[in-house]
Amino acid sequence: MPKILVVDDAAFMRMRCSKLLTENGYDVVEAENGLDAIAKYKESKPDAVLLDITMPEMDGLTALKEIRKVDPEAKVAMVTAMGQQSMIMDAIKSGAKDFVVKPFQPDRVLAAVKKLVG
Amino acid sequence: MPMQFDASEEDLKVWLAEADEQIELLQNDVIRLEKDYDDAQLVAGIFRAAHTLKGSSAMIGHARMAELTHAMESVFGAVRDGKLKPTSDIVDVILQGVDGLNAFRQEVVTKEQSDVDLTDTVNALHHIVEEVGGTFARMPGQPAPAAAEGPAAAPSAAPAVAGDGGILARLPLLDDEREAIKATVEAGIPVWLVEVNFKPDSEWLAVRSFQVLTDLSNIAELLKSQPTAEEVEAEKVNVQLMAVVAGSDADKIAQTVNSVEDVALSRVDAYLAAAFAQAPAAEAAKDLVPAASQAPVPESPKQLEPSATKTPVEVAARPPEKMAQNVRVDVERLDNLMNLVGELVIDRNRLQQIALQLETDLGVHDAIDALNEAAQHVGRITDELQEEVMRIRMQPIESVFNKFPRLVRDLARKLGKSVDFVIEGKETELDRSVIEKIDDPIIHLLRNAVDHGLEMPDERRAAGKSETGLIKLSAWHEENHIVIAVQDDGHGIDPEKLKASAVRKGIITQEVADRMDDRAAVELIFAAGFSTAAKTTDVSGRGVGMDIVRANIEKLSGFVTIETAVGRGTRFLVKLPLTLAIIRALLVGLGGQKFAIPMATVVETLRFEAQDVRTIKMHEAIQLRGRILPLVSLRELLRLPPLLYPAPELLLPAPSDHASGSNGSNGDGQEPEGDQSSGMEDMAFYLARPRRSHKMFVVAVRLGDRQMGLQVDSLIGETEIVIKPLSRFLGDVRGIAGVTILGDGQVAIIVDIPSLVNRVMQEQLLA
Repeated sequence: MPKILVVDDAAFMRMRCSKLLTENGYDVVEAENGLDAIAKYKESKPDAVLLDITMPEMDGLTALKEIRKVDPEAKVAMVTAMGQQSMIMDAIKSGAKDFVVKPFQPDRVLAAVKKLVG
Repeated sequence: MPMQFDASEEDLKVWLAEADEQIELLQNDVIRLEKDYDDAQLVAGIFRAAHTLKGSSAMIGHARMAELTHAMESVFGAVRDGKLKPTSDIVDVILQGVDGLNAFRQEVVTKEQSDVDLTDTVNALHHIVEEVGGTFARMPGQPAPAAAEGPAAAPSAAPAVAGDGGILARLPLLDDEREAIKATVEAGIPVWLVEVNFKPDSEWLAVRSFQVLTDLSNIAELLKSQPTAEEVEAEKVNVQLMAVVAGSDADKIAQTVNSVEDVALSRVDAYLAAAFAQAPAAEAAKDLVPAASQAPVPESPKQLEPSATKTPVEVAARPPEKMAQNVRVDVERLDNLMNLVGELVIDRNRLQQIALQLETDLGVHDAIDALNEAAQHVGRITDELQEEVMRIRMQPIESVFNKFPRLVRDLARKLGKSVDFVIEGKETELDRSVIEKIDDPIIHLLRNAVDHGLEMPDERRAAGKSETGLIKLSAWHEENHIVIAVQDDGHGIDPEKLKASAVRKGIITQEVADRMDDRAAVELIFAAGFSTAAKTTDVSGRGVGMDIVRANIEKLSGFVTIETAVGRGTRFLVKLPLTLAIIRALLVGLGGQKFAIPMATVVETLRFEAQDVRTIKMHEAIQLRGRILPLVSLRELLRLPPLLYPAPELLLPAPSDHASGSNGSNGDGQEPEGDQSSGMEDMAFYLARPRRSHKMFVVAVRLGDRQMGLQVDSLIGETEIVIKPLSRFLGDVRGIAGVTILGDGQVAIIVDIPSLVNRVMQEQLLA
């Protein structure tokens, strides 16, 4: 079962995302900020990461870079809100593979994850 | 209009809990923006809260809320970027928005659309950002701006050329570009023409285009693209992207491009030598898109490469930070848990009593020892459990205090006063049961402080004070209590004025006023129907006076005191128990019935000979270590039938003068006690109010700095009790705070000391 790390400081978003993924046969690990994400990444070696951008402690862009340092092959999709287009481009420069815009469509998330894992 | 949200009920609970957190943060911190707009951390937190709310409200389909939070976020973004200085007027608009959020949040609970219309606020927020040159990202559902002009508006009318799918016709090459491509082809490296069409509804074309270019750069050399990487970063894009790449193979390129989301159609064609002949067509196109053509081709994808492959030393060296593991628990469950622990406390007491009883009845026995041991163990565990649960229920008083800066700010603005509001000790913890109930009294004290306590700026200046008044709200622990202080540096309370006013209002007589000391005079502020303000303002409201404030605080087993100095200010001190769920109480007996007096109010217990009772100014009192302790009978206070001894041989009716030696507290229009005991008379009881030879037990209780002796029949002991409210059928019974079940299974009535003592004081004051 592919393992997905869901990183978002918003509990509601985390829950939504985890539920969707679990229901579709993924194993989900949650993290609530960038620092947490790095720790969880090392700990659970997920197959893919859904990474929110705006978070306390450590934001998604920094976390992305750190995760890619830990694992240059890390497959990360950014989860973002309207208005963060330029940040996503920065993220893609830093190695993000994809992005999902909130409010996300379940299909869209599943497609993105499938692509990351596949 | 009913509303539907895109989430289950369970999910909405989580949504609400989180939304509340963010809204509260906004509520608390937005006010601070006026002064601390350069506090990066503050602004970042505010921005994040709006951002999170935007995301989650959009997620459940609350469009109005998403739109509002989006507008707020933009304003916070402008503040964060140093473009906008939040003036009081701007903060007013933001606060309107915060109020709106509360209304929208409520819609999620009621599933009914309220008539709250924040269009004006949203527009005002937009306007604020636009004024400083900010822009808004488009929200989903908002009309798209007119198609972006960009290089991608390339002429598609150019004739198609066989072999390149017409791509070259739309991708004009500069001479040196053509030369570079030619050289590459001649060096045996394949060159490919790539055309990518995105889905028209693709969310962020710029990012998708960027992804395509990045991914292409990773497998091949990007010779040229339209739009260029720079243009893509500047978000000048169209649904079509074209590129010329060198290396790799057609299949791999197609696969790479197609793996990017939202790519609808792509084609990869070999760049044929024949294409060089197409120069004229390209030239023709060039004039139409000069900007695009002359933009430099991006450098080799060096900077696009993941900043990767360095050793992960930096990260690995830092120990993973331990995150606090938190669980959200429904408040109701906590209450239930507390109730269960309460039951356990009762059973623990009961168990210990049974063991004691057995020991008394049966003497020493192994089994009884074992029972004792078990009872003690259960007792210890219960204590710990109770302490833990209590600790879980403890909350920082912050959640209450945080509402107040807004209140004080709005009030001060309305009144034209300038106030510095300082909060101290908001981390002080106390039980939920208390937290829920203290905001009203504090709000009232704060309003009073702003409205009546502080002078107008010109008055302050005239008095040689700073024009800005100071109001300080602080909290700290003192033994088992929390103390909350509301302090102002205003004009203080003038006892003479208070007295005069009280006489005028008929609350006290001139005679009483004349012998009243300053301290007692200041206390007059708590008298019913008293208000020092010359006129009622809409600020402090009408009707609710300090008497109600005190009553509410005393209902919580707390008390309030005043310290004041004319010209220098006033401080109200509110002292409250940390919890209301389980308390220590002194058990006393009145006849066969047990009563519990909360220990918080008990000063000491005393034994007196009845002849020690004096009558001073018509009231009974005893002398205690040189001071006078007013004495009242709890029995009479509770309007219980007088103490009766069965005396079948004396078939006497209850003497009507039974209360003659008492304090006369029944002279307030209540029915005389004789009536209540009429059922007893038939049973031929003999009334025996303790007379001169009797020993009597007195519990000295305290309320604020007043003390009073309560005469009881017997003292039973101290125990922990769990307060059970009276059944709704009974409603609010004066003088009774609730009931509790004791270790022996008996029900004890919890005496409401504040209301009783106040009643006596009031009556004595009137007398």
